[in-house]
Amino acid sequence: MPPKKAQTRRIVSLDSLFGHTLLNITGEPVTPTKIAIFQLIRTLFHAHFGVGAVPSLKPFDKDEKTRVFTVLYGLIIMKSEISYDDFRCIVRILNDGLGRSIYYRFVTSMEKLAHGEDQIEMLFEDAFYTAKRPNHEKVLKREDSWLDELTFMNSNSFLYIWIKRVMMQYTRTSQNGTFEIAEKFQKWIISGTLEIISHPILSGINRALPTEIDCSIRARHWCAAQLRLVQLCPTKAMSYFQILDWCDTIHRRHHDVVDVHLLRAAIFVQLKNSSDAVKSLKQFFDMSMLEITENSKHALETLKLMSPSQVALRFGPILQGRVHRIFGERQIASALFAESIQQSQVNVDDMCNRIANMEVTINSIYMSGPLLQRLSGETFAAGKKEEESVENERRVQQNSVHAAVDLNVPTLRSLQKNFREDYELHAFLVSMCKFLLCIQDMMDGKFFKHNSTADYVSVGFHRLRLLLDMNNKGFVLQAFANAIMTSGLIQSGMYHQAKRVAETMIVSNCDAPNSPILETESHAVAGVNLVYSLAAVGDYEKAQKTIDILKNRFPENINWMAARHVDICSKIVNFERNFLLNKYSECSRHLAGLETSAPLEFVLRKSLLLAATGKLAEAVLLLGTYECGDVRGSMRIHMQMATIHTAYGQFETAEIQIQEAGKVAVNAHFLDANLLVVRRVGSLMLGRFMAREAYQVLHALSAKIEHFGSFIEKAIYHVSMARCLRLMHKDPRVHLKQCKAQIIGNKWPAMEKLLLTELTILHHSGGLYPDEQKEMKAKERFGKIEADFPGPCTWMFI
Amino acid sequence: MALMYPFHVAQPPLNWSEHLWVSEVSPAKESFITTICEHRQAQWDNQDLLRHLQDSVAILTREDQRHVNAVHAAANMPANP
Repeated sequence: MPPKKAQTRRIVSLDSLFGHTLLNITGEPVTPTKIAIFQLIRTLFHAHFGVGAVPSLKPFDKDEKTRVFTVLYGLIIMKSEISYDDFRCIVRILNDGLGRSIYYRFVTSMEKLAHGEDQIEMLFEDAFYTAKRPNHEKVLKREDSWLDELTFMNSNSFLYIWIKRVMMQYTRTSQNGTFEIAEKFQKWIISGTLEIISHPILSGINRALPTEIDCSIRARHWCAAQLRLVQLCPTKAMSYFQILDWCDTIHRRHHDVVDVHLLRAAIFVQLKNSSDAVKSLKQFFDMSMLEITENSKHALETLKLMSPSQVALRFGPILQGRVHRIFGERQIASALFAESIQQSQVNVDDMCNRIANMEVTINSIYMSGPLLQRLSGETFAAGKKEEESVENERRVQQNSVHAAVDLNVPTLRSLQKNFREDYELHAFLVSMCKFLLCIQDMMDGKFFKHNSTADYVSVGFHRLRLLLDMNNKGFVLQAFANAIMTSGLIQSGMYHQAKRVAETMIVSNCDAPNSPILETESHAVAGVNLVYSLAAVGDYEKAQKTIDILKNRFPENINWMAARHVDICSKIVNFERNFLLNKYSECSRHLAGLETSAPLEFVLRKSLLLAATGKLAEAVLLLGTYECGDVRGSMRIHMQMATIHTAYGQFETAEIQIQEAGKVAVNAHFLDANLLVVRRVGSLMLGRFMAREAYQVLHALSAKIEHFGSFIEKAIYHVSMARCLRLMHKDPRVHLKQCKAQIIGNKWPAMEKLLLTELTILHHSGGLYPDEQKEMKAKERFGKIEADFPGPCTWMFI
Repeated sequence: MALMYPFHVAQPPLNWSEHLWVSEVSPAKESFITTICEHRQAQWDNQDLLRHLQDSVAILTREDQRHVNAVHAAANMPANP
């Protein structure tokens, strides 16, 4: 058997990961003027110290050194190029003040470089750094003692840093770059003017970077600023394609700025490019896999300047899963979050564990994009139960580890390095978890259940007061909570309260010196709920103006996650408006894009449109085949089927559906659920001409209808009451007047025609109050409205 | 029941650049990076110096060779009687 070959150990190649670490690190392009400044500094250094082993006879005194460095600083600070003739004038001015043949030596060295007798060397002797003269020279010359402290160059000065940057830039230039620099330099000297290099250097290794990203520190600050603007107010950030161009530039010129890949990932999320976002995240975690050892003692002991970090293993799956969750790939996201939970438990990272569990909660609540809706196949799948049990086991492990610890208070282990940032993040996460549980209760119809949701909301808001809010964390989360509040109020029929909360959010979103007006998705939701509250009271003109404002503030190509809310709202409000005007073709046009973004809303409105145009079987089939998993959605579907069957006179089927809706409404805690079901029971009884029973049922709703009903519900309620009273031979004029008050302003012409029909019957010669003049006026008014808005009133379908 | 409004819900405002995974580069770390660069620069310079020294040691001229032979020959002379 031959001897086993020893396996060679693979060492991490830093150059392959980062590129060469010195390449383009300074961002100081080498230009002929800078080379000339460098040569001038060497000439002045030789004048002060001497050349080689021969000391200088006349070192600089304080005044001469001040004069020299004033000129050098002026040359360095100036950004523009100087011609060779002008540069020689400056050196001549120095020579007049200093003597010591500085001008002669400078011009001699430059002419040697121009004619190829010497090569460009961006180096200094060692004495430049020691900055002291030899002792024996001081003894022999018997110089004064104050000359000992006079050094040529201080290592903390700006000039020294500039010299270092130029030296590193030139030393790490490639062969081709060095040749180009030397050639430009020779032409610059020989020509004496700026004609040859008048154009700016815009490409290659010597490209001048923009001011914001011309060194690593500025590039990091720029990345942090743009990343914050992209997340909070995207219209204030630079355009996305310009940001991507600058990211490419930073990636090529500053390899140590790894935040640029995270910024690129956020930009690709905004551009709906999930694959490139995931690639950028992988690149970010690859680049940040190695971290610099900050402890110098540890670095000396282990001889390691860099060591692998565990950040990529724990937080990489969280960020990648977040990208998949945003784009609707919930299964992949769930697997990634499970991986992150395992890694955090293995490495005992409490903060990562908390973040990952919160992401799992978000992934289970947010099922269908911008609307809160439980999908049908999720709750009843057999595999889902096993997966949920696995998740519960994982959470039980978390709880068993921290059995004696209050989960609302951070442990000292989770506040490891950055105490203040960790504490703020922990308070932020606790508040977020409370609000997510609140959303889950809303989805299950338990929002107003006693002592469950109110505790979540109060604890969540209380935690926000603990934040210093330096990064708008608390304000953004408070906006998120208020937006959820407006949605909950709209769901419960409290339209005036929702309008007040939304207006408060809009008013408090003001400009500040440190933070501009926020344009997050939460503010889009608040604006959308403001539109709904205006539409619920029938103010369609103001609602349309608000929609136009929202479309301007949240454009599709910049903030697509906020723009989809505005798009859904615009379609729904326009559908409602055109349906009340009996314009069914316009309704079909507004329903066109709603099937993918809001399937439940599409099914309900499509079935209503089909039923109103006489296609009963298609409407019932469409409603029957749609499976809805959440409480309010199924209640709405049952009530919609009940009203459609009522309108077509099929009362037995309608009664079955209304009983199903009543079962759901009893268990749910929506404030308007009982009102909606009972009102439709009254319509059902009225359709069967059971006027007395319908009156008893509807009369009990007289208080609730004013609080929780929209103007459509109020109009239908009052016209139902009027018809009940007419059939019972009583006075219906009070309810007719109230119904008329709801639809003032030509909101619902068909309902106005129905009112006129009731008035005609009432004032007919055989009616309850005979009056020929009022009957004639009602008929004339009916004719005018019929000419403009033909078609019957479809109030029984609603 | 169709003319009701849906429940709009916003994405949770999570930060992409949390401090847990975006390491802050402090001025001390920045100077540490610069020190690494200068260290590599010094190694680059020392390579030239070492190469020069090895050349001067390895290649001997004819006169130096003769001097070494003379010293070696002087060492091998017989001792005085």
